[in-house]
Amino acid sequence: MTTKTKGKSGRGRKPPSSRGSGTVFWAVAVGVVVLFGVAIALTRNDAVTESPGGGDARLETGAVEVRGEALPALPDAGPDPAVGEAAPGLQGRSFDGSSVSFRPGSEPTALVFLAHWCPHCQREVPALAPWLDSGGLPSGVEMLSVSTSVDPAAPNYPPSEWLAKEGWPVPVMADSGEGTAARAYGLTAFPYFVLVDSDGRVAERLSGEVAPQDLEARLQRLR
Amino acid sequence: MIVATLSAFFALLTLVALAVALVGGGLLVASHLTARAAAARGRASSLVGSSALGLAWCVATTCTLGSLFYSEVAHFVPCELCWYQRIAMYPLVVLLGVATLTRDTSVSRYVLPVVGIGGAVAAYHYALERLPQLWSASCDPSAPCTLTHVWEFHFISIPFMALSGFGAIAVLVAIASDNDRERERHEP
Repeated sequence: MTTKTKGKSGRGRKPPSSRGSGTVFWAVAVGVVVLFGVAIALTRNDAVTESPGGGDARLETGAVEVRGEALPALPDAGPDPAVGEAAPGLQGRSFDGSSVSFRPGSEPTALVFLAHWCPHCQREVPALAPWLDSGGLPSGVEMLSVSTSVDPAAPNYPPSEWLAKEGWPVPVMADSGEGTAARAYGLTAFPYFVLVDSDGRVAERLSGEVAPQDLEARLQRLR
Repeated sequence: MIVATLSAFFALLTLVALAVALVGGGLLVASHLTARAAAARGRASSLVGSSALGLAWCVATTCTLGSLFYSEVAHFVPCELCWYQRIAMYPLVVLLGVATLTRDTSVSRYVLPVVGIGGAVAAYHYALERLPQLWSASCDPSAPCTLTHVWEFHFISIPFMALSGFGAIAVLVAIASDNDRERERHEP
């Protein structure tokens, strides 16, 4: 890579400019130091207001026990090989430590897998919450949500605060840090829905945002 | 704490880079339209022209170190689009470093296309973050491009930092070339 020359510099180098490049660099260096000081001042208050331990000890992840065979991953396209398969049972805990379980075969159930950092889940929850509050869930159909893929370094953490803030009216199971429940249901994307019929078999699996009316129509077919 | 402080610091630097990109870019365009803007461009060129390549190297180095901080210290897993921006940004440290040492302003013909590609990917990534529903209806569980790790001043995310960095580098390299052309024109 050589510069255009006029035959004076020989090797393509320009002579150093007499303009105050040193002054410019010193000004930039001072500016950077000032900005770093401003950044420290801006975030010092954050550190003071953070309560160590965060008040109530909430359970953001928890051990989950899976009963039964794990389902295959949901394919991007084509027929879902899990339809008609026996849904695995889940035993875990909610954010407050209370026991939450899913036993397939009792009543039709919609499982909803949510990730606190996922912008689509952040849109889906406030879309579904009013629908659920107004009795949109067909009678005889249960709904259980699973908070999974929890990452303290990711946005919108912790999931317990997020779902409480959104007024999420559905019981929540806190999945393990390894995503035990999500893996057992072959999760491939968020939000993720698994509709299980009254025989405990998978009727349908969906990924991505689903409109409440669309979900209601699918749940009606489960009854 | 260190992640929050450095994110605020990078966001402040982003504001500076954004100002350089917008003011400098606007001046470069306007100088073709009005004599007053052309005079202002000349003054800006004579003020920072000889330092511009070095400043562009500083911006590329800061962007590179910032991205390494986020992946290696803060443990934010880079998504696919982050990697494309890295591929565009990291070589600029070497290219601009060598160009600064050799005062080779012809490097602009190599740097500007790379900056253009990196900036386009960063702009696309920022749009994806802000309007995820326009591109897909679901999130990839591993390293989704829609995940916004950093959000400062209600508009600055990591792709926006990269976009501002690419913009500032483009303007600074253009100013360096401009200054060089002017100098060659006035040399006997």
